[in-house]
Order: sequence, then C-alpha cells, then structure tokens
Amino acid sequence: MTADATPVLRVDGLAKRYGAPVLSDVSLAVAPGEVVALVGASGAGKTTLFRCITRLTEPDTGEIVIGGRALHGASGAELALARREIGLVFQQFNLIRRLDAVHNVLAGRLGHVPLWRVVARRFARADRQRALAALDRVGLLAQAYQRADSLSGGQQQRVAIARVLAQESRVILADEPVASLDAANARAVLSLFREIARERGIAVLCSLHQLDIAALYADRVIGLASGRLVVNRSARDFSHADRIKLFGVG
Amino acid sequence: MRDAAFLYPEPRISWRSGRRLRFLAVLLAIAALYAVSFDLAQVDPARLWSGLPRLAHWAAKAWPPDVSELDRLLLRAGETLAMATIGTTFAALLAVPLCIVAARNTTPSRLLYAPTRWLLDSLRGVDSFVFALIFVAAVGLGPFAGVLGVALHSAGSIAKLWSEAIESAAPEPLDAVRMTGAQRLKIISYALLPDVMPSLASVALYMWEFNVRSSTVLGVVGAGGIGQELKNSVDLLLFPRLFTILLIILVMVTMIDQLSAWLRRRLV
Repeated sequence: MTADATPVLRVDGLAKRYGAPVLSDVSLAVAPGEVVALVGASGAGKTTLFRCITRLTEPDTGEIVIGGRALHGASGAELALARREIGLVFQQFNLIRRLDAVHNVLAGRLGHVPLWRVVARRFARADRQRALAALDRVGLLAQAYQRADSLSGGQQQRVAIARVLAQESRVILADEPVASLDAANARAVLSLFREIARERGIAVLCSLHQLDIAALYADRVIGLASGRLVVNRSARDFSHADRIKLFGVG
Repeated sequence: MRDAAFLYPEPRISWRSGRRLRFLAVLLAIAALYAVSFDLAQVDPARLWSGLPRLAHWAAKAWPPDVSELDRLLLRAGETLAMATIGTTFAALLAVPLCIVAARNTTPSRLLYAPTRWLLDSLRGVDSFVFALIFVAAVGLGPFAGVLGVALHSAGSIAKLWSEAIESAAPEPLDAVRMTGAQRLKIISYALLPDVMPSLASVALYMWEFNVRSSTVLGVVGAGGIGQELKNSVDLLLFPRLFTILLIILVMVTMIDQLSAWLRRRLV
C-alpha cells in the first residue's frame, strides 16, 4: 500500500519534445493498491505524460515497465498485450457514441476476446455479466442499454470508468477524470478509484488540477511543472511550499 | 483629442498592391480560359437556331408515344436497374479492403497508401461507359459488360469517398479501444465502424442512385439495358418509341432517386 512495495508501474527517464521539451527526465513508480495524484498547472505536460506512458504518443526516450513487462520497445501484438494491463480514462471520455453503454464497457474486454466475437459483437456470458457488474458499480445499470451519446457528461465519464473496470488491468491512469464533473460526482469518482485500488490492488495514477481534492483522495502527490517532476510527497506532507513550486502562487 | 472615427489606424490598400494585381490576373486567366473553350467546343448558336424546326418536327411526330412494345421496354429497363444494382454491389465489395488501405488512419502500411490512392483515382477517372466499351470487347455484348464497367468505375469512387469518411472519424474512441489491448481489425470493426456506418451506407446508396442514371446510356456501347433500345430508336428515327423510352427512364430514375433519398434520410 506504500511506495516501498514492488511498483507495478515504473517510468524511468521519460522525455518528449515538440521542438521545445514538453517532458524532461520524468521518473515515477506506483505500487499496487496505491493512489497517486499527478498535479500541475494546465500545460505542465500531464496529458502528454499519460499519452507517452501508454505510447499513444511516442516518447523520445525513457523506459516504461508494467508489472515486469516492458512497454517501451514493444510493438504489434506485444504492445497490445502490455497495454491490456493499463486502463486509461480520458479527459473527454472517448466513448463510441453510437454504441450503448454496456457495449462501451464491453470494449474493455477487446484485448481478451477472439476477433470473431468482436466483429459479430457477440460476447460470452461471463464478459457480459462482468460489464453489467461494472456498470452497476458506477451506478449506471439502469442506463446499460442507452446509447452513449444520449447520456450526460457525468454519466459518460462513469461509463468510461466502468470500461476500465471491465478491462481488469493492473494499472489505471486517469487524465483529469473529474475536470468536467460537478463536485458531488467528482468526489464519487475519486472514492471509487480509491476503493478499487484497495480492493483489487490496482495502481492508480490520476491527474487533477484541484489540489484540495488531490490531498483528500490520494496516498501520494506528485507534481509536474514545465515537464519536470518537482514534487513527490505523501499526501499528508504536501506543503504550501510545494504548492508554490507547482502553481507559482499560494 | 482626435475624433473617435480616426482613432484606429487601418491598412491602406493601394490600387497597385499585390492583392489587387493578383485579382486582376485571375480574372484575365478565367476570361482567356472561356475564350479558348468556346472556340474548341465550336459553340455556334446559329446552328442551334436552324436545327430547332427539325427538333420541333420530331417532337410533333413523337406523339402519341408508341407503347406496343411496352413489355419489352420495361424488361430492358429492369436490365438497366439490375446492372446498376449488381455493379454497385460488386463495387462496394471491392471497396471494402481498398478504403481501409486508402485511409491514413487505418492503412496497414504507408508504402501501400499512396499507390492505392492512385489506383482509386485511375478507376474513378475512367467512366463506366469507357470500361463497358472495353468489356463488351472482352466478354461480349450484353448487360454483364455493363455490370463490370459500373463495378470498376464505382469501386474507385466508393473506396475514395469511404476512405474520406474513415479519415474524418473521431480518433478519440479509437485511442480508447487501442488501450484495451485491441489491434487493427478489432479497433476498426468495434470502434470505427459504428461511427462511420451511416456515412458509408449513404455513400453506397448515392452511388447506386447515380449508377441507375448513368447505366441508362450503357446500352449505346452494346452493354445492354434500356440504352440499347434508345440507340436503336434514334438510329431508325422511331420517335414515338423513343418518347416511350424517355418516359420510362424518367419515371425509373425519379423513383430510384426518391427511394435512395428517403433511405439516406433515415440513416442519419
């Protein structure tokens, strides 16, 4: 439950430039069951960091290891297998708009099921039950058969989280998952992350721009400023000085 | 203090500025293009004027329409419709693999992407009429040559329009599905297809409707259908029969247009 345990996610010396450096020498580790908040001002490189860890954007250098499996340097089927172990929650939810909620959640199973089931959209009973359980967990069972684009923003975000739950990955990355939610919904989502981290021993790395919330729900806070990690502290030790380092103001 | 109307400096555009001169040059180029085109196309209103009485004479002779061979003509119209339908279907089947290779976000290889685009442009560049002409020589007279002509030309058009629909699909759901460990075919069939399906179906229907219209003339090169009767009637100056054929074409094309438009509206 602390960073002393063998980390399930380890990032070493990650760097990315678009002309100017966006990420410089970022190293971090998240242990099973640990919730780490990644904080930083807009433009600090949080989204780029997530995209580089998952290699949706190719980092220039750096190592990424998930549960002992190297993600850097992997390609094709090997990369797909490694990605199965990272659930990513996007800021904009990224649901398949014309599919219903339960089929969006079933998308989380795509790395596990054979191609013909995907093409025919016929999933095994166990997977369907898993998806419904995930929707139940986020409180959206009643909306299971509604089309994704008919749901509200908060509901869509919960479907996206259910998709990650159904994926049963060892790591969950969440990019500003509560940025477009109201306070009550935001708290519900973050408690849920905390619960599943504890229950299933999943490592959660979640970017947030609200420091007060980060301190409430995370075990540890790491801070990104201009593409560098400048803060790495347990949530209760997070100080005023750290805040100034990250945001420049108190 | 100066008058408020003069507070904000504005750029002064000189008569001789680059923008004005460029505009004039474009205007001149367009005028020249028209002059040359008129000459090459041998546009001659006087000849139209002198030909009008002949047209009027034929039109008068075309009444009443000759319906004695209506069964035969309807069968030929059915042939045209079948040619367009089968041709469009073959074209769509050919377009499925082509459009995936020809879309930047789904192509398996950058090396295949450009040659495939060229192939599609060449297929599109040759009209079904021209393809049919060649196929009549290869497989003989009759609607099958027309089917092949329609299929080849439309495969290019459909694949090109489909690949454009695929390229304009939202990339975010694809990223999300990629992160679940899915690879190309799973991503395409599960996340991309539901998103673009309405546009793909709309394109296919539009091409079908277009092919019904364009197939009416395929008979002129011997590729079967109502066009063959059309040509015979013109050649033999059978104007009442020609009139019936034109009416059949008009009704058929209008009906298909309406049906296709209605289906496409329902897809949205």
